[in-house]
Amino acid sequence: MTENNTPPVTKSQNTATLGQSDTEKSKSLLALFVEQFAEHKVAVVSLLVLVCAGLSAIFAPYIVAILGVDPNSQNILHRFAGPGSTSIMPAVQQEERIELWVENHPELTRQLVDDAHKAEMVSVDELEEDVPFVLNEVRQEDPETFASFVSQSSEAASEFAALAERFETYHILGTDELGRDVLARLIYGARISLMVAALVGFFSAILGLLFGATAGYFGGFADNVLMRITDALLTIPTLPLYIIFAAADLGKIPVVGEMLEGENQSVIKMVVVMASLTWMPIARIVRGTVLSIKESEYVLAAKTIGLSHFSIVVGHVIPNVFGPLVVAVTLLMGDAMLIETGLSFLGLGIQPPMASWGNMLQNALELVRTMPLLAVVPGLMIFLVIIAINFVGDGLRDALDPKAIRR
Amino acid sequence: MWNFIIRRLFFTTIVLLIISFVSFALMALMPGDPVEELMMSNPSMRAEDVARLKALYGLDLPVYERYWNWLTDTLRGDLGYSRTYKVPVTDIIGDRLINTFLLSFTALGLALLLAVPIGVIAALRNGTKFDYIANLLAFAGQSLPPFWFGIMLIMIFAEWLQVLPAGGTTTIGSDATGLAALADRLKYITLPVVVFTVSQMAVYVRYTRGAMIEVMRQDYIRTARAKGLAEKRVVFVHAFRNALIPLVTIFAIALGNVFGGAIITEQVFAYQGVGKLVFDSIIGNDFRVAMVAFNITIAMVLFMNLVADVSYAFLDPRIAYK
Repeated sequence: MTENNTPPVTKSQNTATLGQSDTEKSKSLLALFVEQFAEHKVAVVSLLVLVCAGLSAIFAPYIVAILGVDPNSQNILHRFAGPGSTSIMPAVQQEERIELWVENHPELTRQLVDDAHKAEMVSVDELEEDVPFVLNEVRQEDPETFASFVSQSSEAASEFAALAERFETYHILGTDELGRDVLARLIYGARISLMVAALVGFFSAILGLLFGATAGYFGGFADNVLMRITDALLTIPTLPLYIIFAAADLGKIPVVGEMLEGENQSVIKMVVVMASLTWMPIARIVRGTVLSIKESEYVLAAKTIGLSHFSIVVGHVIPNVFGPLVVAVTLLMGDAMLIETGLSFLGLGIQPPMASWGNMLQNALELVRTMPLLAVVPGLMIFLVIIAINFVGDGLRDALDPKAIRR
Repeated sequence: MWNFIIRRLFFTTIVLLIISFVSFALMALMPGDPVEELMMSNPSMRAEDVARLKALYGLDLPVYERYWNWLTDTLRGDLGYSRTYKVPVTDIIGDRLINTFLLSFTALGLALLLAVPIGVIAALRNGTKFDYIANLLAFAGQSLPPFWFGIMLIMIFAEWLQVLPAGGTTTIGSDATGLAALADRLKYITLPVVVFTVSQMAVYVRYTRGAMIEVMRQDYIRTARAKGLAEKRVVFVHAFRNALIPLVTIFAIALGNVFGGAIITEQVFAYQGVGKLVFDSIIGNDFRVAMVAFNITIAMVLFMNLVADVSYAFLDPRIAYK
């Protein structure tokens, strides 16, 4: 900008503010960044949404335990129960739970049997191992007698009562087509969907950094080859490729096949395939930044005072790449989530019984008729989280780009 | 220029060959070739019969030899038979291509018609309420999962209001002709077009807005204003024409991507296009169809990218292609 452009009024204002800021304490980069980010109100709200989603994903087992539900326990007697309904576990499952409890707590069981005999809850000729089951029947048929028995007896009885209480579950958002709790599946779905997005972001950041930095730093032949590969991969439409990869049985490939074993197979497969097809924009950004930094005066200055290549890369290149990298990775995570949920919706991504927000919508076209809530909620969650990711990315871009600082 | 085009054409062909080989190899990894399926349905089949059948269909050859056979067959115009539909592949592809073209071009046209004016107005009123709302909606459109949006439209318009069909391409068994047939198609294509338009609009709005803001900051805009031109002329002749350059590229790339992107929309609405064909044939193990549909999709995208690059060079003389 030339001197002539600035009218005299602003000029004096400029000098005035300059004088003022001279007396102020200078701010750290982090403080500036936080200040800038906080200015983007929508991004701040979005960040809150993401933090909430992230926390519920991390603490999913605890939240679900507090709610007293399980994302995978089916109850065909209570399919499509509406929001706020209670359901009782089928008798077979109740018995299984009791058997498990008896197996794990032999001491408590003995005490419980003693208590039951003392309180004359069961007839004397009843077999010892049948006592808990009989008690459970009493609980269902005559809750008052059972309650008074629990209050008069030792801790074994109250432990047993606590177990039996969990046979009746309360479903805040109702149940799905297999009688599973929708809220529990949503929370576990957040876990999978967010994890896939984060892992894809992480691995493609690493791949992008590796390829981009190599191309930018060494230049010449390596740059040429790597960038041609990047260009070629960028021109390919990814969705059809994902479908082919998802449908192919990668387990038949020698080394990759062994990596893909186990119950997390579909998750690992998704992350590997997606990360290997999404790193290109990141590589380009990194390469561009590295190229421009390489020629900058401060790198020259660093070289003149005799800094090693390593400290130049760590001290000057990485901090400068970091900003654009974070923005690109954030936006990429939004895309990754869109792809994962889309593929899971088509039945090619995360495989049931593992819950993902995408595969919860697999039967949505039929659910539209029977239980619209089930078709609406998972999609709404996907939409909310992706829009939040995009806004946070936008906010980060504003906050990290020194050129965009609005004053 | 010609040199550049030829070089890019060569490069594109190489990429296409590599992708077709990769897709061929991946499809070979899918469970169940025709002979394996025969074995499953007939467990008493003898091992030598299996070997004989595999040799007959060339399934015992290594992947690269099978790929070579497929490639030479395809280049000779022999696309093979569909295992699902029991007709030559060439008989299926044509109609599907037309259906997808119809869907994606309508959506693309609509998206541009709506998005470009919105983007221009948002850029000219940078910082106003209109700009803010347009930006917010663009973000929403970009984040909206298309399959879920489709499901919601089906729920509202097909299930609750019952004004539009939930899916399909035409009414099955209808023998309407002329205008009635057109109206029938229109009824089925409306919802997929809406989904496709909305999911693409977002990008165009943001690009047009960005490009316009960038151009309006240029020195030549200030010059145009300084010499006293009407604002209308400044905006439309000086600014908009220059903002169009990046937009053309985005448009050409999008033109290619509509083929890849149509898969989910077509699947949700059971719309009989190439995208659904790609999906169905891969899932249904219909190898010949899958190879052709998939590679046509890829070729479309690569070709459109080429067109984008070339048109870019024509539009922007500053870019020299060596």
